[in-house]
Amino acid sequence: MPRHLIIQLARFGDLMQTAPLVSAAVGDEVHLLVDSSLESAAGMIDGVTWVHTFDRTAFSKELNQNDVTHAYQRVSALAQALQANNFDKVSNITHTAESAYLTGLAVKSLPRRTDISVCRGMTGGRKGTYSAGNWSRLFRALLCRRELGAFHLVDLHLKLAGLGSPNRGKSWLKATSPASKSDYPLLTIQLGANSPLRMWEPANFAATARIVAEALPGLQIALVGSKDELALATEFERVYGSTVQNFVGKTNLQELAEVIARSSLVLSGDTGTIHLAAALNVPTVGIYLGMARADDTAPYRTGSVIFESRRACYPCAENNRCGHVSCHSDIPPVVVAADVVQLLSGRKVTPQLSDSFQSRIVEFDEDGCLDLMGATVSTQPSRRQTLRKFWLKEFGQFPSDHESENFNHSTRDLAELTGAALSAARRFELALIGGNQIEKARELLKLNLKDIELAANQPDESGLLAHLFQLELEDLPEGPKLIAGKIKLSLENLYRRARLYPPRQSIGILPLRAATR
Amino acid sequence: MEKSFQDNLSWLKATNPTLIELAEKPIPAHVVVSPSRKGASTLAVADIQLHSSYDPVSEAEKLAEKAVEPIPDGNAVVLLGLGIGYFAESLRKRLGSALAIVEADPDILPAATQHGNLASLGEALIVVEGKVDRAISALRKFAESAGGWSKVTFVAHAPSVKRFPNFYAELEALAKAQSSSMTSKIGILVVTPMYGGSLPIANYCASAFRRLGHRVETLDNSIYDEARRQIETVSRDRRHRGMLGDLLATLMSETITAKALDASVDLVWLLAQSPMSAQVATELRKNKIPTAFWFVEEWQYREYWKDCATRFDYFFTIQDSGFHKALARMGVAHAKKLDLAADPTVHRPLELTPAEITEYGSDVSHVGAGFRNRRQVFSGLTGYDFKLWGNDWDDPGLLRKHLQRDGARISSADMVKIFNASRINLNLHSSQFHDGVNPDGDYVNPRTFEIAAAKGFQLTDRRSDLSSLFNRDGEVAVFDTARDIAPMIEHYLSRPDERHRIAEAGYRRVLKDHTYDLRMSEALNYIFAFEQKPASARHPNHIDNLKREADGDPELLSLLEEMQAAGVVTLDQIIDRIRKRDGDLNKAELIFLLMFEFRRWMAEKDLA
Repeated sequence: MPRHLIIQLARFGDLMQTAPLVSAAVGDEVHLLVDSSLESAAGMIDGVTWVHTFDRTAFSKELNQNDVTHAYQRVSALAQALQANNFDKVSNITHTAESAYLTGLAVKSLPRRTDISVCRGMTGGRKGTYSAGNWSRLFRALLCRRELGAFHLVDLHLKLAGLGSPNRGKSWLKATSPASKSDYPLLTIQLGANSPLRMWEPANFAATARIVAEALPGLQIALVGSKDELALATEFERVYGSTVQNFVGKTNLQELAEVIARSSLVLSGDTGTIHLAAALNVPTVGIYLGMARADDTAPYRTGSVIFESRRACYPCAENNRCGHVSCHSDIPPVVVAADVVQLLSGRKVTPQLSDSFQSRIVEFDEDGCLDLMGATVSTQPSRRQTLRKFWLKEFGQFPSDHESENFNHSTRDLAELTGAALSAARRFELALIGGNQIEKARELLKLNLKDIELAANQPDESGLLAHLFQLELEDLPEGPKLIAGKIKLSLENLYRRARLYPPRQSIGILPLRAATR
Repeated sequence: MEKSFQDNLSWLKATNPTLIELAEKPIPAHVVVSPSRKGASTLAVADIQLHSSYDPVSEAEKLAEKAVEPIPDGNAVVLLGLGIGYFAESLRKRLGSALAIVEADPDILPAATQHGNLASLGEALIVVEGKVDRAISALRKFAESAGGWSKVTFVAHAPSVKRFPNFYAELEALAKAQSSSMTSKIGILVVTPMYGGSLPIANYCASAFRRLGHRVETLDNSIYDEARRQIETVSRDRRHRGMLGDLLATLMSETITAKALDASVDLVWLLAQSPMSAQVATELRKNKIPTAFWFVEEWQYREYWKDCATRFDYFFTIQDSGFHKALARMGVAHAKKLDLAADPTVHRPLELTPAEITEYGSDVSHVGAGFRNRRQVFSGLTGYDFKLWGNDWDDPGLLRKHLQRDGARISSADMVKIFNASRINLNLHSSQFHDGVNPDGDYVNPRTFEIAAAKGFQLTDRRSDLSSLFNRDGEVAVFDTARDIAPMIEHYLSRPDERHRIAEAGYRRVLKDHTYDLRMSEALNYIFAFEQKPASARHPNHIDNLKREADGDPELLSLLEEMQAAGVVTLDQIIDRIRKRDGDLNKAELIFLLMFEFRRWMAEKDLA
């Protein structure tokens, strides 16, 4: 049985969104590497053979104290422990430089850029960090162009890790304590979120709950959340006016899972709790506000309902916060309550569309990818669906076994590469509706590498394509000297301009060590 | 004998030229050279027989045979005691490594030169020195080329050691102490004053420490000088000005702790007028970082030492006797006299252009401030082609036409040009309380060393310390009273060859004995004879400690080996090193890159 390590060092919500990957890794002995604070949560995921942990709290303390020795020894010991497992596959779905280095350190012999037979995702190899695999490259290109994304995070991770679809319609977590569901429906509400911008006000949640309670006599309400959210719970109770089961600040992650497992429905923002509910196959209604982008991080479960503002500035750009929370009042509690009542009554809900808000419902397309069904019905595929098809075709035509060959450009020259990019651009053009940007992309790609760099800064698909092309060049192994020299110059310029690192005299054909990000 | 004497002199000239003068001296009466029974000369001093009176050559062979046995392969050897040189000669024949010989008694060398066979010693270094710290300094380069003091073995010529047991024991002990503490270079924080004559000296000290291979951080307080001036004008209320001045002093003082801890230094070196509060001293002491203060001022006239001397672990002075007694009464445990010096990279002979010679040159010149005795003495020199350079010459009277640049402050660079261009550099130590030459003057001012280092000819006033630093009239021309000046100017102006000879000898003397490198080395030897181990050596990030922890990790060890000279290292330094390396990354490097990236991520998330 192949041993497969999945590196997920992000937060609880991200860990819960890793559960479908474990479910899809049929036939693999799955190991997870998580932050030590999430060890027990990782242990809840069904199908995980082993949980490895990295104590990042202690590590950060050591680094803050400039304790080089212990910080080094901590990572070295972890690397040795991981290497002892002889993993056949390491999938890094954390997308940070730190996790990239851990990916490289998890295998006995440091990987080469061209070899993606073991490591996938951002990887630290013999020449520094690089994106191993097409999907990893696409993820990186989309980091600063999220609006051009076509895939839900889980789908992108599934592709990155070379996995098929998860087993849907069942919980992906191990069975919790046998406490069975009560006769009355239990609506569980998560009040807080990791940023005030993403947090619906407690009064809105309370108003929703009151309408639902009036419609469904006997309804029980439970509040969950961390100690930091006690004040929110107090405010909720004040507005709601009746008794609720208040678990805020009283549960660990295991106990939280038990509460959610007993729930009939979870109402929450884009939080770890809503992804926990999805992993437990519990119905959810999500209020997505601020930077939360339902297309990327909706609960990965059929029938999940998402409410969003229709304000032009929603969702907030990651680095361009609007500074107000006007979108919070765009979603009326009464419409949310109506859907909650429907779902709790076992009836279906339909997507809604108004001037100020919309609701969409999670479904999965023929390729097994998450799609959000909105109120507008069209015979034409949406832009997102078109792009998704494009990328699946573009990257899907190279099964993982052949992917490394595809990316071994040692015998290609720049013309061939440009040609490949141009033909991709033509396919891109055909796939796009309108397609007027592709003319621009083609023109830009015809020019030299500096222009590709400029093109990569374009905010549309042509920019995305150029950016991908650029990433492909970055990962190019040794090639003809002339081409290598050009690429080197271009990349040095790029890095110099980005003020990341000073130019170096003795770098190889690529930024190599200087390119460590 | 005459032939071997000449051979020995030639050998000394080629290998140890500074000893020529001493070697040519006659053998003093108490050093008795006589033939042995076998014919070769033997030597006795003050009733101690230094060689066998029967067969000194065979004796030396036997001793050397025995002595080389325990010497580790490749170790350099320091022989303690020269005698006539038989033992050294026998050792030389058996050693494949470098040899140095230390002799505490200068009277021995003439005997060895006349009766020994020094010319057979190859490239051996001979150090004739009675002071331990100077002997250590003289051996420093020798030890460095051997790979550090730990690679040096001491071999005693027992009869010589018997004559000066304390000297040789101390020498060996100090060298051993250095092998454990000083082989890896230390971190030094040099704190400068805001302004004044000690500011350039602070910079010379920092440069010297750097040249000695230490990691030097400088806290340049001259940047606050403008703030100090502003404070002087901000209010007419003296109390307010005082309070603001105190705040500024506190800021500068606290910065010392911050910088010293941040840079993990092993020593804080402060110059006169540099600020450091008692709290900061306590804080540094708590962190086991010793502090040293070089009081380059006259203790009778600048009395602020009374308020601060006990704050420092080491107090260096340019005057001795009475001052040290006063310091001891206050409880200053470690006070040491450290003469001023020159920085040969700054104070040096120059090739001047004709225009520069015209601008800076004159028969007689003086660079310095307008103190009372100078005004009084120089007024008598108005008949000469005399240029007066420097500041504080308000109301110069008769000297007006001699005063250059309207009494503007002269930069170090210009000063060196003046020293080079002047036929006679007149150096009169300042005094506000005397006419003419200060009869009680003891210490020697920086100018004395600086003029000599520039190979300038100088006429300086008599100072009680001068004779131990320079040979009077051989290396520097000296006047005892103001009345002597004019005749001496006449004398030397008409004798350019004599001027050049003296300037040349003075120049050689400075390079040999009076550089800041030597002074700083002397100071460090003194300090670290008392300090068990530099603070950095105890620091967990000291390269030696990291290497110890890295046992069994060859990739990490090899990376750390490359950084041996760094002392205490930071993650940033390791990353810099990794970036400079070529070839594929290895796992050790990847771990450091991970640490670096994680720290950057923390900083971005503001978690640090």
